[in-house]
Amino acid sequence: MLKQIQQFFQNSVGTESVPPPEASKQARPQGGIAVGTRESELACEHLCDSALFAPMSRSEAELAATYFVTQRYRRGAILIPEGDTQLTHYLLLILEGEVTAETVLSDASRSITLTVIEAGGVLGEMSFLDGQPRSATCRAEAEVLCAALSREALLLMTSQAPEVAAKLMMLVALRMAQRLRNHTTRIQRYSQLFETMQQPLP
Amino acid sequence: MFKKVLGQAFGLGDSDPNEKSPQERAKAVQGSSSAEEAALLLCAPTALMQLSPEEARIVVGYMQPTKIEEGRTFIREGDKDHTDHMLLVLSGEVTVETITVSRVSPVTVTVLGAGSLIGEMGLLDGEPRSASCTASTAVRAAVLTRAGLEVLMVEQPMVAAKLLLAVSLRIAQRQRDTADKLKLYTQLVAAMQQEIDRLMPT
Repeated sequence: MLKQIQQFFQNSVGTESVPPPEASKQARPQGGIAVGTRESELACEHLCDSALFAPMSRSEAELAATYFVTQRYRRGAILIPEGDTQLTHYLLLILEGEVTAETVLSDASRSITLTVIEAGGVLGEMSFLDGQPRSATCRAEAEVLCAALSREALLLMTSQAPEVAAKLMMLVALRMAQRLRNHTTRIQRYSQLFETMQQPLP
Repeated sequence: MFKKVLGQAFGLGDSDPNEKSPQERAKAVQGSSSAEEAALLLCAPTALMQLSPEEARIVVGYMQPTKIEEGRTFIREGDKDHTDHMLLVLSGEVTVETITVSRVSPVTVTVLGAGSLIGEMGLLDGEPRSASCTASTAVRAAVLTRAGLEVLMVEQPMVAAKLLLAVSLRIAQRQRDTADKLKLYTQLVAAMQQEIDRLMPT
């Protein structure tokens, strides 16, 4: 998978003047979210995050959404299984519903919730980027509607609408930064807790 | 604040670094050894891999070189005001410390060397700095400001998209580390809870 990304970057050098054959202006991933649909509405709402210093315009978000395909999951369904090495080529943007990321206890007795991802959140972006196994199991807490973006679709977007792709990557990076901050804070609290526990009793 | 400490290399002088033509940028990069060094690090696997050397050179045209003397803390934990830039370390070593863990004495989180990216989260989300960074040797770095990135996104959207993809990849790597740590702590706490429940049934 990493090879593919590297290939992508090697291949796309200088594509501004010579677009790759498959990247004609009309080509879109099959089943992309059509403009004007309810899914497109929802996607736009979540893609236009004003927390970004260069947020997408509505038309840019509509265009970006056409590179995503929607997926629906029933309550309790597993969106991403932990440790999966095969299906690591896409990320998911949650349009509706809630997803928990969980991991199995070391003695495999039960699984514990690591974090809850709400609508507007992104998941699966780590494997999408580095091609490494999925780090946690993601389960639908309610009926979930999400939009999937494959590496191929992003590649296509980068060559067809680079400014939109840049803004999308900024959004993904922002979501990751937010999660990283959240995790760092929680790790700090845990290590404080363990430090306190090591203090002798008065 | 950073404007003041920025060096004279790349022939920037007093002109606003964000108001230059691509030709001017290319010219400024050509023949500058530290610009060449920055470009090399930008496409090296330890830093922002996957950018071609040509593209990395374009990015460098939007960066400003800076020198940090030994012992200076150039990013302060909790700083809310100076969050508009990230640094690419060209040479030297940077100690990353945080005070939150022990609340009294700072704990060294990590030591970063050439090719490391610093402050990319603040650049993205504008939140307070999560750790303090001190130059443990004399450090040379290239600075990318939010304004510089914005100009890059308009003038070279494809390069910006790839840069953001590369930055995301680096955040992903750090996220895997913290996710593992968090998993470990969560498991530990869950195991302790089980033990407490066993010893002191309610």
